[in-house]
Amino acid sequence: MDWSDHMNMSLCLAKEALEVGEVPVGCIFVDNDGNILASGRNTVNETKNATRHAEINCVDTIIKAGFLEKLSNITVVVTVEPCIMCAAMLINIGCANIIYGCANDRFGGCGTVLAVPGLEKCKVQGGLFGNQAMDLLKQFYKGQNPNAPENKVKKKPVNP
Amino acid sequence: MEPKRSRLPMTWALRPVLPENVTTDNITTVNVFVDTIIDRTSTSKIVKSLGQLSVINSLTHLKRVKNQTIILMLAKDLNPDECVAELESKGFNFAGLSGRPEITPVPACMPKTCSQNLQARKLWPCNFHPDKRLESILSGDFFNQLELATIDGHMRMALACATGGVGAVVVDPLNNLIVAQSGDFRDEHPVKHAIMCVVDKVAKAQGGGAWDSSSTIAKTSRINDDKTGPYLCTGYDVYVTKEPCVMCAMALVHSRARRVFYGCEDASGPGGLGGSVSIHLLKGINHRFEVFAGVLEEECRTAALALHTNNVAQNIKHTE
Repeated sequence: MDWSDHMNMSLCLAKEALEVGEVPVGCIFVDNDGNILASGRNTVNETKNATRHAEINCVDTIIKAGFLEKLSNITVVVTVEPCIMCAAMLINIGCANIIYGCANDRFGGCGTVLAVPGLEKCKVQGGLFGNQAMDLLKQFYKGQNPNAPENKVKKKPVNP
Repeated sequence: MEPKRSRLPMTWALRPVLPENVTTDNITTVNVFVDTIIDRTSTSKIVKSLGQLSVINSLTHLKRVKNQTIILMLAKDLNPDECVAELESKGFNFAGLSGRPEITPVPACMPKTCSQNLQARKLWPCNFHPDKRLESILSGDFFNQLELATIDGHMRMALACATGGVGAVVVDPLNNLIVAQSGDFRDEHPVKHAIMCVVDKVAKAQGGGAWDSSSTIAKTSRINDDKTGPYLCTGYDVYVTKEPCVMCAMALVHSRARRVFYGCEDASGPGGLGGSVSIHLLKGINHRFEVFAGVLEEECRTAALALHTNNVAQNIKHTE
């Protein structure tokens, strides 16, 4: 199955995150029939909660919609390798397939820092548009550098 | 019936969750060539000239000399004659030594604890300096009675809110006040483990949060650049009745918790802080915290089991 279109959507979400000063990671959840169940991006700064990663926000969306039973057997298309927390969570909910862009050298839970327990039950494929995902991360961390010039995009306030 | 133990100060024992290379008393060894010093007056000269050969660079944790025996070099796969030949080819002079090297096992690395040092020095003395903090954690006197009573009290708070079999509280150790507390709601929402809930409540106390509807509706998505207030769980201690799973353990890393205390192990799934993995000991993680297990272990286990029994009862009801 070609996941390019899905990954492009996730990349758009990641860009949106970057524009509001969040770590640029975007994610969509797809069910067995190819229906998109949820889309999400990082909201860590907005919520002051370091666990509000794109994947967790997607689960929230699905639960809010009352589709708890649809959570298992899904495919997750995410721009960056899920961190240890999210990878463990995805295994918990019975995710069947993880497609990611670039590896997560600091926290990767799909083998980069740790292969979380149970990962063997899930099909994992990395490297889809990895460069684009990585470029977004680089832009973000460049903006974080206090010595770097002021990044206008990062400071832009977003209306509710 | 359980014997009444309430008058005893503490009915549980704290267990630090430490890396295996700290808790083990097994010493890994490596073979070296040693030789007997015949002329004791030339010991310092021999030590100096061996030092210049850089054949013992990987053995700096060892004392050079034990009684009248001196370490020459790693044994590798050489026999004594080859050892002599190699050292002489580098310009070493065996004057003052027997010239008949022997192979002996020595500790391969520096002991991490006094206990390991006791084992190590049976083989060869090491340049060991105890880590006082670690020794105190290992000996069990890191926390005094008052601190243990405080830990006991906080875990009782976690037990008191253990809806769903698990409870968690986040405490500011500077004033011992509870910043947030939560039970476990994973049967409604697969991410709502007690830790994930309590971390979100800390966020709410700091003007954020994602799960409390009353705050999320009014909140704008504008990012607050105020750097003066509390940041996530930095400086806070976390008390949770059951060992956090891998997801929750990593959530505590992301949240920069200072210390984590838990009651009982997680019998039902992969524990993240000493069970199936030890997230707090992973190399390459950007934040570290100390973990102590065993606080009110029995009470915490009972709370977890009570839920399990409830679930079983409910399932039976459902199937009937």
